[in-house]
Amino acid sequence: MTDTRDVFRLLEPWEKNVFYIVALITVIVFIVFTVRRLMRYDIRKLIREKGFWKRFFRAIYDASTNRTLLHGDIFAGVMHFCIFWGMIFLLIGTIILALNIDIIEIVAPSYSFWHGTFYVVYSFILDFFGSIAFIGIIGMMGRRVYLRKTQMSYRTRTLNDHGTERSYILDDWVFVGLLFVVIIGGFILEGLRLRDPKYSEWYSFAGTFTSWLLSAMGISTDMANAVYPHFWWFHGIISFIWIMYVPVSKGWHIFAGILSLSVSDELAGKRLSRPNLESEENFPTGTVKDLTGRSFVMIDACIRCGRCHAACPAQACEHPLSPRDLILNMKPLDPKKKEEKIVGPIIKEEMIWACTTCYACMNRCPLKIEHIPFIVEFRRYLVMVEGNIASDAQNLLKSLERYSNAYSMSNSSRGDWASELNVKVLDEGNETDVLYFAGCAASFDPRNQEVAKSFVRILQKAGIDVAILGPNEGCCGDPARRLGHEFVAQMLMQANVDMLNKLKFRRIVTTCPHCYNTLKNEYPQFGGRYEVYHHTEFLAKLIKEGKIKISASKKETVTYHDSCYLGRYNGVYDAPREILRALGCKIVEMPKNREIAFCCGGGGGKVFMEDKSPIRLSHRRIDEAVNTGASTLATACPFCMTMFEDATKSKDLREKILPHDIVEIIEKGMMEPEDSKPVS
Amino acid sequence: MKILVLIKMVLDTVEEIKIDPSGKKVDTDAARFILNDVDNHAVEEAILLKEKYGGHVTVLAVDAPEIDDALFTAAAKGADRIIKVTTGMEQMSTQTMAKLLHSAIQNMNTQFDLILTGVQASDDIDGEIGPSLAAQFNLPYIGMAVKVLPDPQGRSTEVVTELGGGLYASYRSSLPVIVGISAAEKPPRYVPIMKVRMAMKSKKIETIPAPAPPPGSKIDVLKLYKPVVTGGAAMITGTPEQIADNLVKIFRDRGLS
Amino acid sequence: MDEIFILAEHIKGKITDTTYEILTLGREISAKMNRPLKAVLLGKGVGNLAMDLGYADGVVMMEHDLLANVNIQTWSIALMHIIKEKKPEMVIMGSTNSLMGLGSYIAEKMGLPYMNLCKGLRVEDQQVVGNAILYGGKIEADVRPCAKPILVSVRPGNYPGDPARTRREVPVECVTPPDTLMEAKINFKEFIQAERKDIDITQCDVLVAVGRGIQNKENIVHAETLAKIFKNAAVVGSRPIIDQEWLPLTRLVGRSGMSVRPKLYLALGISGAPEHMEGMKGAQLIVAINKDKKAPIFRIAHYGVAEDLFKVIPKLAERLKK
Repeated sequence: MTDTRDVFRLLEPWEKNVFYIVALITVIVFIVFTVRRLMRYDIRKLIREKGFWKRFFRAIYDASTNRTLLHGDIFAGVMHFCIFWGMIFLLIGTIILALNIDIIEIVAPSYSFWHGTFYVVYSFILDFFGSIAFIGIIGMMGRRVYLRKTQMSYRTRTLNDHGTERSYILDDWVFVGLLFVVIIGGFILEGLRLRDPKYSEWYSFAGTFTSWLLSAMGISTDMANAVYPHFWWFHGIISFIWIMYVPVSKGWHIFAGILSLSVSDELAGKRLSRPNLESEENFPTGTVKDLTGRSFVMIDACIRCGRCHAACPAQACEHPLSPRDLILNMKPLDPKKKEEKIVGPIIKEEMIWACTTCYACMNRCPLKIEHIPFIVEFRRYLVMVEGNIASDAQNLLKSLERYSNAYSMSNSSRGDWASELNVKVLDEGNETDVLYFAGCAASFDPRNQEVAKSFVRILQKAGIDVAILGPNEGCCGDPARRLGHEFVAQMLMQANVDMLNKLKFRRIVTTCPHCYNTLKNEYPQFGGRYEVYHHTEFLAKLIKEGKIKISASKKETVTYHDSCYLGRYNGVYDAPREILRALGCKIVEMPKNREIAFCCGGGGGKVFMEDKSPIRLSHRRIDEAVNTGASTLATACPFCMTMFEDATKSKDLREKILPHDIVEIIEKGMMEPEDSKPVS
Repeated sequence: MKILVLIKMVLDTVEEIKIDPSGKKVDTDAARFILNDVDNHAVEEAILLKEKYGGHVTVLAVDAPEIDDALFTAAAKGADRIIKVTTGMEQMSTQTMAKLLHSAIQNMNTQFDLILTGVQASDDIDGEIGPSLAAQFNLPYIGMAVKVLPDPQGRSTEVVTELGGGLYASYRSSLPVIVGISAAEKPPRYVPIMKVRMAMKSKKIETIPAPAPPPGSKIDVLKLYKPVVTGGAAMITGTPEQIADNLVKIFRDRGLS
Repeated sequence: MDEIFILAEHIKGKITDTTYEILTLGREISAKMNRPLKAVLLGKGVGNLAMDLGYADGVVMMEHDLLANVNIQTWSIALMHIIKEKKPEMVIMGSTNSLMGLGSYIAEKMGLPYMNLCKGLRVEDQQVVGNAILYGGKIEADVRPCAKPILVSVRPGNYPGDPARTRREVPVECVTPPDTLMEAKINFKEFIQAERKDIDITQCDVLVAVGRGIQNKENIVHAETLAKIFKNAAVVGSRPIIDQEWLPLTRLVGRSGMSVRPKLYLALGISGAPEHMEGMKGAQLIVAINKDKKAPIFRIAHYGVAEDLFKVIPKLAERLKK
């Protein structure tokens, strides 16, 4: 007998009809639920957006490789890969089967293919992938039980009563439980069938194994055959239930996830949106009206994996922020109820203000959900519409608006730090190769002024044609924008662009990663397209080219802190390390380095504000640095510098470790003429 | 209750102040102006009183650079009328300004119960607005107020003033009265830009032309100059004993010990 | 006629420090212009205070219930009456909280010149010239009155008060209170002493501030020793000190703390972060002691000592106690 099987074995003909009716009902229900979900997203508009299909296919690729899941959690990534491909093959298998028995056998029976070699290979493949899926599910369930206390616990202060802990836990277990029953059910069904010695399908190895187990449990062929039709129905119904459950449970992530990956913007957070604030309609309202179809795609896509929550440094320091709960709290929102207030009732203000915009959450999210733009949009509402901000934030914003700097000082003194350096000030009458954009901190804060001076001295020694902007420079706009005062931010950015576009320079270099990010990624929004480098990139190149002569004799032990806006935001991890190595420093990495570096707590405008929290991010980070045994904490950002200076002073650690900017370390390495040889 | 608040702009001292060639005036071309901080408190106090007791708040100022923003911000906080007196004059002393305001207020034909203004400003070379107006209107004046507690029924109010060192004095005055505010009962509120925008759309700044050029100040400015500061601290050197001796002398000269 | 008058200020039965300062100034002017110096004393039952004003040549006194405690309205009525009766050359008063508005009111009412915000007076060709401080200290002005009598308001802390603290008997001229006093619409009710768990450092005359240079909590006692020697003084700190909880938040000076304008700000071991300087750069006299001669605090300090503070403070304390 050729290898095949009767799908409706041991069933009455009327049962087959009922089956098809139930199947049809399931499909209809599935489609209805799916369409209702899709309606939340204004999907037609999303699809029509430029580049959607390109991103869609990239999303398919990302999904196929499970790349974003493997990133940072190999176990979960592999287990999910198993479930993912397992289910896909089972789905394909079902489609092939349906194709054969529901269409071909009816219209063109001679073309029926589901038998013989095809059947053998088919059965083997499906058993294989079914087993893979099974392993994946067991792995995931085990992981969930093991990790229950950490990132998968919903027991945080930041989760509102909406979508309570219990309903999430229930959904988690029902979804994976049903799937488990479906897969196991498939094997059991096979096992029951294969108890009948009529069949000898060794290639259905999983089914064969199951039948062996059943026999070992004392189930005879007759018993198996008697149970078979009932179990067949059981398996079928459970499968249909699972299918209908997908669009109304976390299973929806299957579709929303692809969509989320398709609408994700690589520059999200790095380049914030630019609303036209001429018209009051474009001001945020703090309600559902602020959420777009895209927002809902992301909110729905979230499967509560908790990686963002585990990565968040504020959360680790017990601040009232959880990126996961930010999204979860918004899940119950109805896109049609545009008046419903989010800021306050749904997302508490303390959560909105606790964020340093460090990007750890977005970096880890497998579905590329954009937490930071949500936070900034809510901040825009609080600042520009409600006027509900702490007094230190008020003072900072007033200073930026009035004086174009963060220090309430006259901007005309902005270039004073360079007065002894004999460096030219760029204006419309001259030109330069390198324009050094110093930024507010380097211009006004004494500790960071030292860094600026050091940097200019190095460039001058290297014979680089460098100029500064002096009093013509205004704040780059980053603190205003991240704090939510988009109006002031746009004013500052446009003013700088208008000024820069009149000047002649080849490239801009800055010592501040915040200025770097804004100049590079956000100024194009205002008509400013420039070649922008961070000083570590620039100096690394100069060292490689031999233009900066250093001695490799500094046998210092150094640990390097990756600034959020340099590392996660702009991918600059290697240049600073190359510099330190070229200087002969012994680099000891902190456990959280590169992509997972722990934020110093200064971003989002917070470096200028009062920190009343009991556990400070900078204190956590400095402890990590001290534990490496290094005596120098190398930094490349004035905010990090400020935070670590304060932390080492407050914790009385200055005998143990001192923060130094990379340029200061370079300059020290330059000042030994006796053993200075050009380093290749 | 009808409240009138008087505000004025002063030089923003964050920027460098230049003295014009005549040596008798400040060069206002490159100068920036900011709302006198205690006037901001006066506006806040007026709005707080309106919120508590009901009534009407008018904010009046003499035209000056950047005054429009201050007036619209006051409107955004809740002021009902915002008015400025237009003059041809660029700079004027406080006494002169008080005389201009006096005529403007008379022409407004409104009976105010309470007139609030900031107690002092950094350019009050020949007097303060509050008491000058009180003299012209023959009204009582109380300065350094930190609390204003009007009695809605009776025509009087209690005013608490700050004497310093944790000591306060409480006065009772009949209405109308002019009060110089030192601090509002709550820190001046932050007005989000949206509210200022809406105020600009919904309210207009009324203008009153100044009647006639007022008489000049009764004091003459001979010259203005920057205080002589020798680039930072005068460094005291020597042995610790010598240094201590020097410091003691400095303290004694200043009446500190 | 043409005498130099100073207005005596008293609170709760005591002559204020500022009064002694303007007595010193008054004496200077009186000597240069060769005119008698008189102190104007308003109040009720203040006869015993006349002796405290013995540095002057005489006292002009008016007593009435309504003048018992300082009250701008009643005091201005009284003072205007005295000016009309006695026709002095000038009346000097302190630029203090309680007298705020008095000079301005009288000047407007009587059409007199008022030299406000002065840090001092000098005499040139028998004419008095005022030296006023404007714009938070950034601009000084020399001003001259265009009429007489002249009203002058002098900021506290510019003249020494001690020389004037002489108790002696001087002639007292009593002036009858005018009937118009009864028309006053403002009544003094009561004094209120604020309940504070800690002192209000913004009201202190002297602040001894510590920064990181103090090194540890125990060393703050050096600052406390100094603070005890001065009158109305307190120990305050910069951010790192409060962060480490060596001093409570009520003692924080700076952007996130208090803004202070004491007569003396003694900065010990403070480097001068911008946020800190924002809170104290308005102090009338800033003396900074910091080992690092490049410390930014020296840019705004009036006097600086680039020496180990632990060497200087004991010597300073020793000498001040004398």
